Amino acid sequence: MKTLDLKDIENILFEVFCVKKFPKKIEELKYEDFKEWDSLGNFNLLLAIEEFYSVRFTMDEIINIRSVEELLCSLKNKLK
Amino acid sequence: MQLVLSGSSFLLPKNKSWNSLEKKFKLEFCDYGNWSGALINSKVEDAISVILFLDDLIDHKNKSEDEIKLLLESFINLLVNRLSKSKSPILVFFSSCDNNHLFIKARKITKNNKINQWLMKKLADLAEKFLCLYFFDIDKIFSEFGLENALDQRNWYMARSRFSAKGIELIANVIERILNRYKFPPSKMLLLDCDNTIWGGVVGEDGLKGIKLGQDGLGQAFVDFQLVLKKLSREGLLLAIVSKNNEFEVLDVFEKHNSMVLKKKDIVSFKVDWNEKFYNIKRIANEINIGLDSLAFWDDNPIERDKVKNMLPEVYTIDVPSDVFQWPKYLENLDCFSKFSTTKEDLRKTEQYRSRAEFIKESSVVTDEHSYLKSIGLIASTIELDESNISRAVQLCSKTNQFNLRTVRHSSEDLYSISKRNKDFCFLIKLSDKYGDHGIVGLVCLREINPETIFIDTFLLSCRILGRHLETWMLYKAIIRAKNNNYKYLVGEFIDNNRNIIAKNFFIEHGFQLIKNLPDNFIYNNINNNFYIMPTTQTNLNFLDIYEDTRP
Repeated sequence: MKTLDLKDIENILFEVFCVKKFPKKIEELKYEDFKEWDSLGNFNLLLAIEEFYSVRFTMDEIINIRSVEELLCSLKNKLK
Repeated sequence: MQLVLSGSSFLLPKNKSWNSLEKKFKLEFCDYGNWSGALINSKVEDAISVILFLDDLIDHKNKSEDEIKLLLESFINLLVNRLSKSKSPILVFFSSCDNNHLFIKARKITKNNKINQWLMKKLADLAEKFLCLYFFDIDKIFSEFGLENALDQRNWYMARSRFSAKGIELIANVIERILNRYKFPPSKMLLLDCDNTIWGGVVGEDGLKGIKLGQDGLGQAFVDFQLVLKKLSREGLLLAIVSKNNEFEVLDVFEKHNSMVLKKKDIVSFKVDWNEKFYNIKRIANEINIGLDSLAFWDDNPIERDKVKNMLPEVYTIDVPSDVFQWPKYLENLDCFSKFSTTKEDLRKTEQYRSRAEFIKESSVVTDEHSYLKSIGLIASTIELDESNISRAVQLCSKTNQFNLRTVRHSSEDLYSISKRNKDFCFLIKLSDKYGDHGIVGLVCLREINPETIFIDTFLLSCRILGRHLETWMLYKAIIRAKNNNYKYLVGEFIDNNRNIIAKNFFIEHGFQLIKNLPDNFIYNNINNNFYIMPTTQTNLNFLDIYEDTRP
C-alpha cells in the first residue's frame, strides 16, 4: 500500500486540473479556490485519488471532502 | 482533428482518463443527456463518438421490444443523415445493460440481448455501406478487464456517469486506436528472425530434429504463432526473414520440417547470413521498393531489437513480450497489421512482390532495357470504375506514395462523382506479364478546366510494377480519352509529398512544357508553380511498343 506524501497529492492535483500553478500552498487548497476546482473537478479529483491509492470513497466522503486538508485526513484513515 | 462526444449518460469531461486522447485530438463534449447531440451539432469534418446505454432510455424495462426499437430507429435515422453528409469517422458504442437474473438468462435470449443483436446488425449493415462507421459492444470491450471494474454504480448515483475511471480509459483507448489509423497507415511488411522466433531453440546447435516446433507446450505456441503469421500474410502482409544463421540450415527447416506452417513461397525475401540486421533490412526495402516506415521487425532478442531501433528508427520494432505463450494473441491484436477491410489485391500480395523480386534479378542481367521489356509479354488494359473495384481504387489513393503525381486521397464518393461526370475521366489500369498477373496497379482521374483543357487530377501507379514504363502507356490512354472528348490540351501538376521524387520529372520527360503564366481564373492553387501543359495531338511517346496493344 502507498504511503501518504504531499508531493503525490500535488502531482495528482496538477494532472487533474491541468493548471500551471495554484493560488496558494497545496495543503491549504480547497473547493472553488480556482475555477477548475468546481463540483465536476472535485469528483474527477476523488476518482484520480482512488485510482492512485487503490482506495474507495463512500458516498458521504464524496459529498464532504472539499479541500486538501479533508482529503489528507480521510486518506490517513484509509491508509492505516 | 476535433472529436465531438455525446452520451446517454454523463461522460465526465476533464477526467484524467481522457487525457491521453485529449493530447492528440481536441475534445468537445455535448451537454449531458443530449445523446445524439454529436450527430446534429458537429461540423462536417469532426470525428464523432456516441456512447449509449440501454438503461438510460427512460423506463425501458416497462417498454416492449418494439417500442425500444422504435426509439433506437430515430437514432439510426440521425446517423444515416450524418453519414450521407460527412466522411469523418463515427464511433457508436452501445451497452444493453443486461442485468437479468441468471435463471432468466439460462432459459432464453433476453430482451436486452435481442435489442443488442438487432442494433448491432443494423449498424453492421450501415457500416458495409459507409466506410467511416465503427460500432462497438461496450460490454465486450469491458469483458477483458471485467464489467465490475469498468462500470461503477456509485458514480452513476453521484454523478450520472455509468463508467469508472478505468471504464473511460478503456473507451478512450478504443477511440484512439481507431482514429490513429487515419494518421498512420498499416505496416506492409514484417521482418522475422528465425531461432526462438518462428521456432524454439537454435537450429545451428539443436539441429532440424531438435528445434521446438509442433510438440506439446512451447512447440505448439510457435506453430500457433506461425498460423497467425500465415493468416496475416493471406490478408496482404508481406513476410521476410532476417536471420543470423547459415542459409542452408534455415532453408532446410522450411523445406523439411513437417510442422512448419510457413513455407518458402510465403516469404518474399530471405536474408540469412551474418551481416548486421539493419544492413539486410535496408537491402530488402530496396529490393522490394518499399519505404522503411512501412516495415515492422519481430525478433526475440532485445539486443537485436535495440540495434535496429537505433540504426533504423523509421522501422517499427515491435516490443515483443518475453513470454512466448502470449505471442499468437499479441501478434493478432497489433494495430499495425490490422486493416478495416481486405481487398482482392491484398490476397495476392506475396505472389506479386515475389515476382517483382524475380523481375529485378532478371532485369539486372539483361543490358538492353528496351528489348528486354519487349520480351516479357507486357499486357496492360484500362478498366472502368465500378462496384467491384472501387475499394481497390480508394486503397490505391490512400496507400500510393511514390509514383503519385498529386497524392490526392480520394474517397469512393469522390471517385464516383468524377466518373459520373464522364466515364472516360476515371479509369483503373490492369497489368500482367510473364512474371505474373499484377492485378489493378494504377489509377487516372481527369477533370475539365475549360472546354479546351483537361486536368490530370490523379495519376498514380503501384510501386511494385515500376520499371515497365507503364506510366507512359497510362499517359497515352489519358491523351486518347482527352482527344476523343475534343479537348485540345492536357494540364498536369506535380505536388511533392517527400516520397514521390521518382515522379518528379514525369511531365518534362514526356514532352510537357512548364506553364509560366497561369490564367487568373485558374481553379487550382499555384503555390509551387509546378503546372505543365501538352497538346493532345502529341501521341508520339517512347516505349509504347513494349505493350502489345500500342505496338505499331
